[in-house]
Amino acid sequence: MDPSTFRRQKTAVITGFTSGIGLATAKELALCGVRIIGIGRSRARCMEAQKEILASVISAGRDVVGKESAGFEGPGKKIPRINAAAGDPAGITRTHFEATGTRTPAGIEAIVSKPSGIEPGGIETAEIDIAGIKNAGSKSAMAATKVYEPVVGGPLGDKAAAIEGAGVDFIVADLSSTREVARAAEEIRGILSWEGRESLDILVNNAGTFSSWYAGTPDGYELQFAVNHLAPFLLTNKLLDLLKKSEDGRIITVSSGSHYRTRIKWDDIFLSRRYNGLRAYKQSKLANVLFTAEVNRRIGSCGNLRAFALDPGLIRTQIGFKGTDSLARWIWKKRSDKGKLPETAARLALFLALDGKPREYPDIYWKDFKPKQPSKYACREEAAKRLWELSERMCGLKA
Amino acid sequence: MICITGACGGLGKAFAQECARRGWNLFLTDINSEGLICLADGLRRLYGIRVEQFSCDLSDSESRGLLFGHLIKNQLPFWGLINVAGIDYEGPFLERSPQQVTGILRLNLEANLDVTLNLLRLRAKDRSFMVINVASLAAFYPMPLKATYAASKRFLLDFSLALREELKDYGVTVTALCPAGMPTNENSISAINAQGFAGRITTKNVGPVAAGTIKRALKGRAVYVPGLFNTCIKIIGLFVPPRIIAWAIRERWSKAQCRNGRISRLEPPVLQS
Repeated sequence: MDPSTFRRQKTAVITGFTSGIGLATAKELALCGVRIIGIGRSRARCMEAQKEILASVISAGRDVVGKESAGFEGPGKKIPRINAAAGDPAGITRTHFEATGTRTPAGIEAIVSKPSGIEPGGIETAEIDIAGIKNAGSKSAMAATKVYEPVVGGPLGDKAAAIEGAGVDFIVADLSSTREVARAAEEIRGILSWEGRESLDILVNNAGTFSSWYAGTPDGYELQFAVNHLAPFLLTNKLLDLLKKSEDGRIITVSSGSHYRTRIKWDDIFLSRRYNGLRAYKQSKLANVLFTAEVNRRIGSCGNLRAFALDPGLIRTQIGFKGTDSLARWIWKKRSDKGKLPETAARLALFLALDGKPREYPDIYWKDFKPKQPSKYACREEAAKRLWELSERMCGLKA
Repeated sequence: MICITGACGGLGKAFAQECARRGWNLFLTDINSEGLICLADGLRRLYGIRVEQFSCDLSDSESRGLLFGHLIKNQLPFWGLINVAGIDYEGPFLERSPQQVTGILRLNLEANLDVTLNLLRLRAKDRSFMVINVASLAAFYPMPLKATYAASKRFLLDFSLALREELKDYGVTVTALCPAGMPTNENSISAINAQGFAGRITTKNVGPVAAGTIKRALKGRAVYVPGLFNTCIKIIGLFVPPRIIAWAIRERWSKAQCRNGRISRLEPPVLQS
């Protein structure tokens, strides 16, 4: 491909992209023409995820999109036709829409004209909410919605090129080890520079873990603290210069509502003397919010980059079934059955990654496409600073 | 300086972290050389202590010789030794290879005694010395299906108790840690889950176990069995004849075996190596 194309296409790094929220987010981003670099722990699962993401791009008819939007550039121009993918109410199957629209700086304002794949009249039940802005179609099968341009000036003429453009790469790394995180960051730099890209646009710190048992990492730290907080911290720091170069950089860290009603236990941050799995999880998710706040403070002057903490709500993922005891499994089974699908969280991630709206707010913590007040503790500046400095020491960023 | 063997395993790491937190300098050894460097780096960065590492296959006497040579050359001021390195293989005696059976003895006993003797000779003469031996709750019973392992741990327990008395006047304390199953890796976690409620109640986190052991070793305690329930199991073992205990364990184990289609364990197959 022509190197100038690479420069115009957005790039995203997603950790833990092989399952759950990470996989769903990778798919959504790929459908928007974002080039994906995923990080996963097992090569086999990475390859599976790669295949799945590419398959979803193909099934959404990216090749057509490529042809139609080729040569289209600059905001305000009319698009003859774009092919957008939207989820049905359950968010599972994708339906194709043909639409005309206008490109705005925030994306594309599109008018859906002809849904293909569902019957006319049935569109009222379909939601077009790629951007997270829900707009149920009207009876006349016309719906105004906001759809992202699938390919930024896409040069894609055929299916093979579409796949190449969608570009899903992965790096196998165990994020519990600071060495591995640093290596992953180096490899990401390698991939980007090989493609002639000078910046990274989106970093989704999604990978998270829960452990009922105290487990040590290769560095001798605690597993949940290392994976849920240190890995995002180190990865962000190692990629920060590239993110700053982006025209519209976003750092999205998947936090959780469990960050409420807890604090950082400074005198035993690994909880090694009195370990409780849930306590450790809550603390690590609080650390995510503190980290997000601090990263925003530190990059303050650099207007192009913003960090967000994402609260996915209760999502039906496998997180409670890995490394847990039978009681935790049972509880998670009961609880997660009531949860939403990972796609719901992925749409919020997409919204925070691409939409112009989140930038307009000073808020860093987002839930259900709305800013939300994080816990009081998460707003403490001195705690955020202390955590940052401690994390720097753990990762060896400062001697 | 404290020497920890099998430092890269789950319990070893927990001990290393606990010692580092207390600001103690460490000498770490393990068969996993890369893991050792990573661990030493991590502890150095966070706690700012001195950490030395030397990779060694403790079950091999030549490799041990290199380790001792390194120690003598560097004249490190040791005042503590935590013998964590130990091994077990899953399965009945008849299914084990001769190498596996002797391997258990070589690492759990031979290496342990050799390291203890050498470290005691190298100890800082001006202060007291602390030895912690990781035995097992299995040390209190003859255990079918884990016969070699349990007997080797019994050896360690008895040895620790005797050595403790012998070295009392030299300012040396010897503490035997006797834990039940510990969730140190995915295998041991699935083994614990397979045991259901019994697994859950006997299992203790390695972090608190390490912290509790250090606390007791500093007080000069002889034996530490983490957890109230495990202490009860130990006490039962003192009153019931060993023959009956062996029979009862076999009954329980073979039932578990039927349930899971495999042998369920009270301990992870490989603690450290």
